[in-house]
Order: sequence, then C-alpha cells, then structure tokens
Amino acid sequence: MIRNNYIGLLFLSVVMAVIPLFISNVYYLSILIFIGIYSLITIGLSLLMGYAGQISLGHAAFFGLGAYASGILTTRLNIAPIPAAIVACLFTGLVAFLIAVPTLRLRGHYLAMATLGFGQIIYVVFNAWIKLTGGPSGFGDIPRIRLAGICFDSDFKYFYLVWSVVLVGFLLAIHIVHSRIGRALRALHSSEEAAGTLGINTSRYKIEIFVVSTMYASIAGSLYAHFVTFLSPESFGISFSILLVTMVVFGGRFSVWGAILGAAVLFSLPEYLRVARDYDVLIYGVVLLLVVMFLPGGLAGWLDGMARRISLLFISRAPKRMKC
Amino acid sequence: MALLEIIDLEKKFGGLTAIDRVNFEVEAGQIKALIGPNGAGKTTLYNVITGIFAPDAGTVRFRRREITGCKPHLAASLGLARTFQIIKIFKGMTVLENVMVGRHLKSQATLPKAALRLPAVRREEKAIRETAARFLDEIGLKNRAGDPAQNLPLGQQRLLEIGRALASEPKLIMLDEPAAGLSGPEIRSLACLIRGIRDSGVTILLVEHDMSLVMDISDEVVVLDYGRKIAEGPPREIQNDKKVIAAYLGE
Repeated sequence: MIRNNYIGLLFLSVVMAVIPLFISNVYYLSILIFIGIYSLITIGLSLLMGYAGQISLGHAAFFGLGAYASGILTTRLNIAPIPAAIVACLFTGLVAFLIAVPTLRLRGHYLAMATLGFGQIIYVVFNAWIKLTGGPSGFGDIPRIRLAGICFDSDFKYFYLVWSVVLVGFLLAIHIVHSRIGRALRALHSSEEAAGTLGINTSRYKIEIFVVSTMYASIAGSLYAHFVTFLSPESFGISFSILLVTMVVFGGRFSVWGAILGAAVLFSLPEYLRVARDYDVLIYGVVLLLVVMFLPGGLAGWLDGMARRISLLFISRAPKRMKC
Repeated sequence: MALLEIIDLEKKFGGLTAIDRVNFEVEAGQIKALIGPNGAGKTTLYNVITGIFAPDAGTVRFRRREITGCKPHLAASLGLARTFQIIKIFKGMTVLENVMVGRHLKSQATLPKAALRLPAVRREEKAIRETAARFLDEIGLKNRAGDPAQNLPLGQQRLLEIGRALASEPKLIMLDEPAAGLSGPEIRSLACLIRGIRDSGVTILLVEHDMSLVMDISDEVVVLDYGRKIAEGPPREIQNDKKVIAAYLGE
C-alpha cells in the first residue's frame, strides 16, 4: 500500500518539477504557489480530522501565528527567515499544546466550539496588539527567504521552494498514516473505548496530532509571509478556517491525497465568490453539507471508488483495498 | 496467585447501586465465569475494572498492582485485555489492521520516528504485520485479512475482537458475552478457542449468559444479582445453589 503512495508521490514530484518550465505566466505560477501553501495546511488538518476524527474550526489562526511570527522575527529582530520559521513553528506548536490539553477532553460540538473560540481569540490578538502586529492595517516589508546563497524573490524560484516543502510534508504524513501511530489514530476515531483497552493513550495521541497539524499550518504561514511580504489579520479569520475545513472534507478527509485535491479545487473559490463577499461562509457551508451527504469520502473517495469500479471491469475478483 | 483482585468494590449511578461491595479473585491459569440475570452489574463491573468508570469505593488490583480508577490504557499495559458486549471493532480498517492495532503495546515507534520511517520503524512494521497475521490465522480469519472489518458477519466480528485482544499478549483477557448471537456449532468452537487460550497461558474472565458454555468450560463461577455477589464456586455447586436458581427464576 505504501508503495502505491511512493509511486504517486514520485509522479507528482516529477510533474511539479517540470510545470514551471512550461508555464511562463506568473499569474498561474502564483496560483500554484498558493495551492501548495494551502495544501500544506490541509495535509496537517486531514491528519487531525480524517484520521484522528477531531475537528478544528480555528486553524487559520495557527496559519496566522506562523505568518506573523516569521514576519515579526525577521523584520523586528532581524533573524534569518529559515531559523525564524523554525522558531515560529515551535512557538505555534507550544500554543497548540496549551490549547489542546484542556480542550481535547471535550466531545464533538464542544470541541468544535472551543477551537472556534480559540481561533477567534488569536484573530483578535492579531487585530488588537497593534504595537506587535500593526493591527488591521497590517505590516509589510517582510524579507525574502535566503537559502544557500539563493534569494527566493521570483515566483519561479518560490514555486520550487514551496512545493519541495509540500512534498516533504506529504511524505511525512504518508509515513505517519502507515505506521502504528496512524492505526492508533484511526482506532481511537472509530472507538475510543476499545482503543484505550488496547493500550492506546488516547489523550496523548489526540494532543500530539493536533500539535502536528498546527505545525504544518505554521510552516505554511511562514512560507506565505515571505511570499506576499505583507500581512493583515483579515487573511487569518474564521472564513479561512471554514474554507480550510471545506477543502479537507471536499478533497476527502480520509486521504492525504484528498488534502491536496481539496486545496487545488477549492482554492479559487474565494476568487469566484468575490462578487458575493458576504456569502462566502454560506457557500462553504453548502458545499460541506452536500459533500457530507452525498460524497462522504470527498473527491478522493469518489475517485478511489471509480478506480476500483473500473479495475473490476478488467479483473475478475475485487482487488485488495487501496489505502492512502 | 491471584491475578485479579476485586476488593469491596462499589459503584452507584445516582440512586441506583450497580455494584454493591463485590469481592472476588481470579487465579492465574483459571477460566472464571461471571454470571447473573440482566442488570446484575456485570458489564458495569467490567467497565470499572478496566478504568472506563472509577468506582465509588473499593480496590482493583491486577498482578498485585493497584489499578483502581486508572485509565484503560494503563491496565492494558499491565496485560489486561477485554472484549465488548456491544462489538467495538474498528470500522474503516481491515480485519488485519484491527489485529495490528492489538500489537500497539508490543511496538515502540513514536510519532517523529514514524514520520521519518527509519529502518527500525520499517522492520517493526513488518514484524507487526507478520505477527498480526499469525494471530489472525489462529482464530481462523486468515482468509478475510484484507476485508473491511465491518463486512464480517457477527460471529466473525466477535472472533476478530478476541483475536485483536489476544494480539496484545495479555496475562488476563476479560470476555464480555462472546457467545451472544452465535449458533450452536459456533459456540462449541468458541469453547474450544477459549480452552486453547487458557492452555497458551492466558487467564480468562468470562461474562456469559449461555449456561451450557459456562458449565462446560469454567473452573469457577461467580454469580451477581442486583450488584451483589450471591454465590461463588465450581460450576456444579452453582447449578444447584438455591439462591442462584431463585435469582434467575425471578428474572
């Protein structure tokens, strides 16, 4: 099973490596860069939602923590971007840990509400702590990333940087899914009681995977900061949190591939919804409802089912179940 | 030696006393049955022992260590396994994967190591898969290894739960009505399986309604009624105990 993923990943890597050579239009390149950045968040979120079965309605806040931390450390303290991103990631993980310990005892709706609440608190901090974050007016002049003598100031170079990180993040996620940790997460999602009696420390694993998912979001935030070089709190509010959840569910939350699919397909949604600005969350809600009702496995689940049905035409007995 | 000790255990839910000063022990190597009319408190007792509920009073000791009120994974790490009256197999996972989860306690890979998939992790994964396959073979489900667990018929799902619990190599396994919903022949092969488990060195505590199974395989029987222990002894004695007969007739 994991071998299928390696093959897929290799294929994806080759495709991504080659794309910028054929696309000279910076607009399309920047779209792909954003899709990469959002994929990084959705990969982490799918580990939390699909495998561990938890929910976060405040993940945009962790994306923001990574972005602002990177921005502040590089502009105010003149720390180099890469170490700053690592510090930002650890900081975000710590905040997530402190939130997770009291919160992950809660069930279902209460957990959702708590993550919603914390997301809002962090969003308010971005707006209110003007001395640190520049408040609603935002702050800019975030430096470009410098690595091994290369300055990542063009979309062409940034594309390779972002997608290298995404592919590594993807690989790590696949490894987690296909390990005893991944099985423990799926087990505790299916029956927390039974998982406990098999020696799985359910609280610890829920906290661990929550922290990991926020660290993914933080790295994405750092990459975002050094790409757009200007941050304002608007990008890190509840609309984006809900869009992230919609991407994961639409793409297929039981699949790490689904995370990338969801980001790629729904990324442009805010663009199309520009005319209906105030209705964006409503549209996300409708998409979520439709997917959950008719396509619970999301796009990835649907494609997986199609692939199996097609292969049934060629093979006489049902193939081994494909997992991702 | 007493593997499991239940001492003066009490559990109330509001005004209802579910477990009323219950005392008994399970000796290593025994097959001990826990019986009683519906509502006698048997599953509640299981839940208290495994740490799903904390008792209001009393002590639970496993392998001489106090585990009263400890979280389930702690008791499990000491070698206490259980199955459930209402089946709790892991849906969305295959039959083999369910048993692989049973190997959790016998493996070490942490999240960072698993993410990097170090060679040691890869070796451990292979070992987990192979050992799980062996346990699956022992309970006769080898040919269903790749099937989604929820597709199995009830009897096989019960078997899977047992196999999954056995994969953790427990010292004591607590079975909760394993014969429920099984046909005659299935119950007979269950009896065979349970004896085999005991012979491999695992002690068994068994909650069961099927009296023929209980009388057939148990070394000792504990009888609960309205949360209280009313009798304890070898199966023959219990069968003829007036209090036990009265409790069941009153049901």
